[in-house]
Amino acid sequence: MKRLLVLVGSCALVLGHGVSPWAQEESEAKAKKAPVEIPDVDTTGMKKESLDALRHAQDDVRANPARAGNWARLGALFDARQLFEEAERCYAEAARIAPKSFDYAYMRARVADIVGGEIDAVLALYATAEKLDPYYPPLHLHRGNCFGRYGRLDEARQAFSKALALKADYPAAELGLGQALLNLGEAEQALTHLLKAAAKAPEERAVNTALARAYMQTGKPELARKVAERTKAQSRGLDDQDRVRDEVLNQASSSHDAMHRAEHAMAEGRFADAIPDIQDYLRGRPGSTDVRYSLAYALYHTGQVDEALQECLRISEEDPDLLDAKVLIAQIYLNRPRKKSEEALRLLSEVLRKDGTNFVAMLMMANELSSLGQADQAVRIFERAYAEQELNAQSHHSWGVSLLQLERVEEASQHLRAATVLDPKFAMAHFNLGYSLGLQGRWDAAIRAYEEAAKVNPGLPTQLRIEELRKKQREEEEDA
Amino acid sequence: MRLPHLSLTSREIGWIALLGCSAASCGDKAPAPSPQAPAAESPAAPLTAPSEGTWLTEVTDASGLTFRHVAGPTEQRCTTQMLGSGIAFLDYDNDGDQDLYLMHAGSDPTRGVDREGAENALYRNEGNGQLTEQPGALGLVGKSYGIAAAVGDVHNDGYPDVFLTNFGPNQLFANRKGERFEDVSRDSGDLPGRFSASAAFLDYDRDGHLDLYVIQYVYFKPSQRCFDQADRLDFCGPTTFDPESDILLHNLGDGTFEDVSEAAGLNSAAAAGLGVVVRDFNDDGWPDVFVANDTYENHLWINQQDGTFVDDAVVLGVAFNMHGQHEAGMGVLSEDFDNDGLYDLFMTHLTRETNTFYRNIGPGMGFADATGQSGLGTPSKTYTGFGTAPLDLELDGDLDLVVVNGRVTRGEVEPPFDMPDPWCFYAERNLVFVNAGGAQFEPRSEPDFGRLREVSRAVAVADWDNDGDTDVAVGNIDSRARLYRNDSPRRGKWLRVVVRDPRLKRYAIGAKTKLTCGERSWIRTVSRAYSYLTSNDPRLLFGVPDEAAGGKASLEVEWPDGLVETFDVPGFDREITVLRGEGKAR
Repeated sequence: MKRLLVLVGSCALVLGHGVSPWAQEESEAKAKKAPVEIPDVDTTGMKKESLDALRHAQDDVRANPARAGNWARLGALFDARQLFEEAERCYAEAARIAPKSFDYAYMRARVADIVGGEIDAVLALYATAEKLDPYYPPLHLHRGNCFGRYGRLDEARQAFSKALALKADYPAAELGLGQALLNLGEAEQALTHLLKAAAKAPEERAVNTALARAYMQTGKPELARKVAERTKAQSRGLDDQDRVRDEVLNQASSSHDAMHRAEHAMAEGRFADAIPDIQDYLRGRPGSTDVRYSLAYALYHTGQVDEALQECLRISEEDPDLLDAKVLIAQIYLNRPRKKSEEALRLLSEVLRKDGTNFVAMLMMANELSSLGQADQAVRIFERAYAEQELNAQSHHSWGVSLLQLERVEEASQHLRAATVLDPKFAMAHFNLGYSLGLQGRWDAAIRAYEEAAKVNPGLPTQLRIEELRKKQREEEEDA
Repeated sequence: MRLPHLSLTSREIGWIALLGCSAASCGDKAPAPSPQAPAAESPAAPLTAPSEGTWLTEVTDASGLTFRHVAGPTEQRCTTQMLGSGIAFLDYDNDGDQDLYLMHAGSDPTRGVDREGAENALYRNEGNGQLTEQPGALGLVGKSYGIAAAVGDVHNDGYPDVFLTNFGPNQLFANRKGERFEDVSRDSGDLPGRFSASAAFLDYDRDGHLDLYVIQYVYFKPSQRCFDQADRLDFCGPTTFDPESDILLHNLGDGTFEDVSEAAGLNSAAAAGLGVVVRDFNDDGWPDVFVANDTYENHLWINQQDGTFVDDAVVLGVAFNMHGQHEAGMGVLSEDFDNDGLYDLFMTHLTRETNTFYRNIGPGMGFADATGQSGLGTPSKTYTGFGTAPLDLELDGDLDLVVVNGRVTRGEVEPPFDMPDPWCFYAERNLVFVNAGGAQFEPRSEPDFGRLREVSRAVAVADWDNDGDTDVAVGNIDSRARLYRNDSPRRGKWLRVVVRDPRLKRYAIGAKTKLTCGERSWIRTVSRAYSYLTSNDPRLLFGVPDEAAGGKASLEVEWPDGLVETFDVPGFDREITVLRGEGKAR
């Protein structure tokens, strides 16, 4: 089977007109970037639920390949199915995108270790993770096991000792240290640690196996045989207490049902229905910033704005690369009675620095700049946004208003007309269209636009404008 | 999960291109290279030392070996198919060179009775580098789904007999003066077994008659379906089924066997066994049995000298690896790799497990998992090892290793391969490890031996061309068997020793030997059963480095009945025969 590769590289969608030079440069720059491969495997005969989960996670990566969490989740799916090569590539990409994340660096190292990569490469990955969090005991446990596997027993001893220094009650590390000492020929010392491990985990086969060897090598064959008998019992395996790995893998486990329900509800705008399912999914997975963002979004749409804001602020602190959280914060700031315009614009600028194609951020920023009268900047950003994607009526309206401020009247008319086409009940768009057409002396068209505005919103001061236009129209006819 | 989008329109426009396709089959995707095509390097090639030419030269075509293994249809992914089939080197006609017997699995992996189109093959070694297939395998015909071959002279008549293990009834064939084989299963007493794997002849009670240790795998159910970690239909692993306990057959000396498994204590432990090797591990003069179990703890049956055995694998440190985990034991062998006078153990395992090297740390002390120090761990971790054999490639006095590989769970297809769908999903390269001394191994890139990716299982060794070094035969599932001639650059002399007991008219299976040259010495035990599903050349081949070959040399033999004799070694680069009773008794 040939490996299936899915290439992703977002590029500007050209909609036939209005592509700015900036957008073209951006597009070319992206085209030059090496495409990121989304790993796939032969899925022939794969069960539907597994295939769905895999495709779902791949879609998420495809939709937003700049999101480390998406890669990590796809990696966890592969990881949980022992498709470690694919998992390692996903974790590597997650770690590249979010280089300060311990979780991703650690998961990458663990998978490379499991696969049996070259020892120096594996140890380098562990070292990278260690720089981010040197106080995580399982990291030192697994480093110790790695050293042990490669016969570097002194280094294994040091690593296990470090794990024990960080976490005294750690039978897995006691076992590792005991095994290392046993293989170093220090059977008496080994026995001490193995007895500690056995005290905590008396039924564990790994412990009893090593203990039996230690007894044998310290001249206690009868005790060795007695302990060996205990190894006949089934063993659950000694818990390595690796919370990080458990959490990441759990995210990709079969408990997607709740999230699927939540997604469905949110797609239908039933945000209140989605909240309990998201909260259920999050139980025991406090580290999942992606899902927490979903919860914040649902809270925001059910009017729980302060809760949404607080959650987004926390997420933004923990996962600076989750840009959607910053965008939602900005949106909340801008929608407040006492608008925090400056802070919102700072956040949106930050988002756009990291993701120059973030359409929502562009629109929010352009609209806000437009409302602040910074028409020149607003127009430039609308152009960038339009190069990415079609705009809605509101945005065309704001763009048109900004153009009016810049006295680019003909262009303004085009966008104001676009706004009215997209939303015929958009009274202000009709009104401003009338104004822009009037400036061009297109009296009839302007009058019709004002009349449309009046139909939608009779409260607008259209009548005076219409009369004024008719007067100008008459004067023009008389002059002619 | 998907994240909500803030905008009403789609936020991200992706440009998606699909390259390649998901391939359900592999046979039509990558054309197989010709057997002698130059090696294509791949990113997945093992960690290897720089290659200095070809040490193991493929002579499959040149020798006339045309055998292509049949495993039967694969739609159901039967576990029986995944085991592969055996190979045996034996000198069936006593003409002084090793002939080659190769087994098919069969055409029906679910029932194991239909052998149409899958007749086993016996190739006569013509002594000139040519193999000639013998018609009808001279009667050495399997009737069930074939697994392994064990060779031993059960009648003490001077001709090696053959025991075949099967999925289905096992079979014993009597060698009729090297002219034909006769299926004597019905007349041989108890020959139980439903799904057997490797088998070994040994004289566990030292009565002069070769007994049989027969590994049992699992209670296989053909209707069972299994899926891999990605939920695709795949071969079931051993834990899907109930394990079986092994069988010990006592040779009553009249051509019949008695099942003494229960009395011997073997029924106390059931496991999915695959590999077996017999050595005197506790140095008490009685043969002990080590069994490599697939996903169960290994067994080291210590002979109690009274017809019973006790499993001391745990206390001697070979039941589990250094992390206390059982591994998927496949092939196994026991030799003194660090030349300290003690027999070490080496086992092959699944991918993501290491092949494991247990160093013998002394009588009563057991073994230490020294995989890491040996250098055998890292290169093996991405492979699933099966057959493995010891050989002193370049005659420098240190035993090297070959390991043949092939996945048991579906993987990726990487060329070059030469096999049909779906086996290409399981194909891997084979490996050579050179012992740099003191059991420090380095992988060696071999242009021929490591060229193709196949689903290799059995590997058997013999001095096939009688030139003083060890050659290699490899059995592959559903594809050609391959023969490799040892062309390594020689760094020493060789001594091939035939160790026979004239009273028994056969090789002294279990005899322990020690070759001493000045201050250096090497130990070997006469045995055929090691590796995986195979029988090997029973002649002992010592490599002696040039610097040690100049002085006086002697060979000490501890015969299976306990007699110890010493023989003078008149020189090297020759074969000598030592006969019990003709040496200087100690």
